[in-house]
Amino acid sequence: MNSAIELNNVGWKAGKSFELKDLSLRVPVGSIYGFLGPNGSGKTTTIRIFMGMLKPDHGEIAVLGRSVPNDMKKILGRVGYVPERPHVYPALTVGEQVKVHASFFGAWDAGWAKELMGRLHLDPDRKIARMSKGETGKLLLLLALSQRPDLLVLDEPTDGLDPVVRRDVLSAVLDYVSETSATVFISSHLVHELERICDWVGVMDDGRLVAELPMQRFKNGIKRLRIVGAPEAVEQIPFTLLSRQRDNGAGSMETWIVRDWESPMRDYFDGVGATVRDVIDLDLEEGFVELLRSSRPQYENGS
Amino acid sequence: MYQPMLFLHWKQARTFLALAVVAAFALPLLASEGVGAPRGVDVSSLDAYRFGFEAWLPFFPALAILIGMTLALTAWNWDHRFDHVYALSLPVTRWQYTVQKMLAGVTLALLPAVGFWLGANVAAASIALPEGLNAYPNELAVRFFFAILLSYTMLFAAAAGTIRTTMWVAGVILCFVFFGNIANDFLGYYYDFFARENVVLIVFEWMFETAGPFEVFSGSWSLIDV
Amino acid sequence: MFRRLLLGALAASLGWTNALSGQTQQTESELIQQLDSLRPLLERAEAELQAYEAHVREVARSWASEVARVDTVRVGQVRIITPVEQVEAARNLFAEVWEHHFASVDHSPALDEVLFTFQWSDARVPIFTDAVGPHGAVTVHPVEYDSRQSRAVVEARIRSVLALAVSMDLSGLGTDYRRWDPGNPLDARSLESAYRIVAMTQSQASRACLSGDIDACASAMGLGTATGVRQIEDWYSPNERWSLIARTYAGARMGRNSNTIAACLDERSIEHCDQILVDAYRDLTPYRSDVRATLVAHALEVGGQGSWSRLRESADMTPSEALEHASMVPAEELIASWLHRLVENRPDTYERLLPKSGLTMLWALFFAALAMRSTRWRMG
Repeated sequence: MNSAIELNNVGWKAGKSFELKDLSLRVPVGSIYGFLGPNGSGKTTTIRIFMGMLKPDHGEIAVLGRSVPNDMKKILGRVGYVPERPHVYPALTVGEQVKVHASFFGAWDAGWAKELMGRLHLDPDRKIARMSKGETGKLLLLLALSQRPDLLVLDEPTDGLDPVVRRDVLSAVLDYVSETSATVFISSHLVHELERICDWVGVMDDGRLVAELPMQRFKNGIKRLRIVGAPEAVEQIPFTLLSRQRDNGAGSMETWIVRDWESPMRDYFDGVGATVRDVIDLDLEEGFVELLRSSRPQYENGS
Repeated sequence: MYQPMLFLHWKQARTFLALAVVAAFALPLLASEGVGAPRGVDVSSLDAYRFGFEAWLPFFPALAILIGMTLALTAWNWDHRFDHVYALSLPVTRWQYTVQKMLAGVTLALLPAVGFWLGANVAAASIALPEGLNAYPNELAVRFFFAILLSYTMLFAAAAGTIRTTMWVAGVILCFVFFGNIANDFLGYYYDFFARENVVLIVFEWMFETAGPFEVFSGSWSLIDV
Repeated sequence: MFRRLLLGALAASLGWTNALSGQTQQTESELIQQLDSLRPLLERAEAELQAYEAHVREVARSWASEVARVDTVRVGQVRIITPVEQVEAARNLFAEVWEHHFASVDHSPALDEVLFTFQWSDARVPIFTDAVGPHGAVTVHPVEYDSRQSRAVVEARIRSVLALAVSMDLSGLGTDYRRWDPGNPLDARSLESAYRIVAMTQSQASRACLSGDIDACASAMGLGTATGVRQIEDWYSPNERWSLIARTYAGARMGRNSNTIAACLDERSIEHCDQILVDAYRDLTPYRSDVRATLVAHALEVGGQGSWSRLRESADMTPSEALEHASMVPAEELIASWLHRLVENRPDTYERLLPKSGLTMLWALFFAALAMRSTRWRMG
């Protein structure tokens, strides 16, 4: 088993407004996979599909080497899940919720749950209905981690949390991963948050996976090039051209956004009679935005 | 898994259950006290019983239905509220989850039934029965429990389904009621059976009297009878 | 209408003439002369009336022949007038209802005085509307029905009009026995209902009856020989007598000022209570017409063939004698067999609770099975 999560040509349609189109996705075992995408791009839908909550129209899904939805009971026993919206029972106290949750999981680690409760500053007698969003988020993470899962699925776990709580949550996740080598699938639209912890990244937009690559390549491979004398038609380019735009004013200066860029590729421009004036590094957020712009039909052809 | 289900359901329904137990205990007592009997009449007399108790009879199945319905709705309340996400993220098959949830509700339904049983026994003991009449507190309590059970399971099943399924079932029933008579009359022109019988009435009679699910509501609810 | 106006005018003119004669003190010969002078007028009026009726008959005949030709159907003694296209339906329906509900009625003179009409109420022309009610020598009972009504509804209507007609045979019997609906067979349901009423009747006579005391049954039916206070004492215990009055005056302030009533209610003086009951115009018989009706039905069944005729012929007898005559068994024996039958049909309030509960369990399991089909594909 090389992939903790594997989706092959999965399709799902909700009315006329939204559709997942032949989604294929691979989350390597032991990785921390950041699932990026703007709001409404299909991140939560994708998670719900491989968690067996939504029925795909077509395609094959495997989680932890088992088929979805046939082996859901065995899969879910090894998956810790923090959903986008809190789903715990508001009438219970923290202690009661932990007790209820524990009874469903054979591998429940009561000692660690207790330790996490202290570390995350959660009061076992506090009623969930009276808890803040941050406290509820921490409780959800506690529940997911105490299961001792092989796969941790976090859907926007830090959305709306203050920086202190966000740090607590992410450090708890990292501690768990360093200790157990579990796979983490974390979805977010906060690019910087994932930049620090993820080693793989997948980018969703409008129901499509527009990129899936190691974080290092994602961070280093997207560049803005300033080119003079570029030909109208480009063929057999050694990198991926995301967009090109002629600069305003006189001259033949153009700005190209490229992916998978490496320095020796300058030779290509020499061969077509063009000159690279500048190679500018983009930060992750800029790269993410350019990636999305290039993936959308209205931005194709650099227009 | 049964225990957490019971605990969760109890947490949801405990306030209502406490009220239901009190109501179930009090109802036979109120009825047997001859409320509604003419002032000045000996309440232990048969006529007082007839005046007083019979006026209360419709409340017996009504309370049972109310308890069953509320238990069913509280059983699924949190699940519906959170789109079933929590339940679906648990390592439990859906049918096991449903069965355990249903059993938890049935267990809780015993509480008002026991309350009713106690109330009915106290009420029966407080009435001086004339010769030829008998008190049936245990039997009445059994009927009360089964009435709760049936209304609970029926609504539980409806609430367990998707909204689309529930709408389908409700739609079919309504269509049968509204268009059944028209269809029966139409068929009556061609088939003697439909000219002689009203299928809607037959179905209703079967549902409420013969062997249908609602027989438990329409049967005898007498604490005192011959 | 024309006929009525004509006769009215004639009567008015005669009245006016009489009034005149009273004022002028006419002699007898003058009066005869005056009446003779009216003869041509009367003859002309009579002739016009006959011509009018002939015209009406002619119109009705031509109209009926065009739109609603009718025929008369006979089912035993029952005569039914119906449009020709409904002859078969009328015959079938009346025959079925008669066989099912009126088998004990061997011959009913009342039926000779009755005509039944049978037609769809939504027919183009309501041909028998004018015929409802007493019509010459016969009474007309219409059976009109909506084409959308089920056969069961039409049968119930026929049963009802037949019962109304046949019950006229019993007009000589006592009120409570006459109220029996001859169309209602004595089935298990009516016996169960009668048992419940008997058991619930707050009367010592009724309780004794249920325990097997036949004389008490006869007394509670109003068939006993005692009268006055003695009869009331047979029916009700002192406490029950007090309760009867207490119930009558419960919540009412009017009438309570009477010394007798106050003595009865407040001092529980049973003599005063009895005095009120004897003076009251109420029928205090414990068993009312619903219970008595079951005894009549039982007597007819016991009497078998001819029992109806015998019951009908016993109008001059006491109810007890009439029942004996109809059933051809002594009253005690008849009441004993009635009581036996009643007790045999005692309602089983909760006797079938267990099988019924089992059935409820099965339904609960069925709904549980439906609930288990709950899908995990909840969202989307």
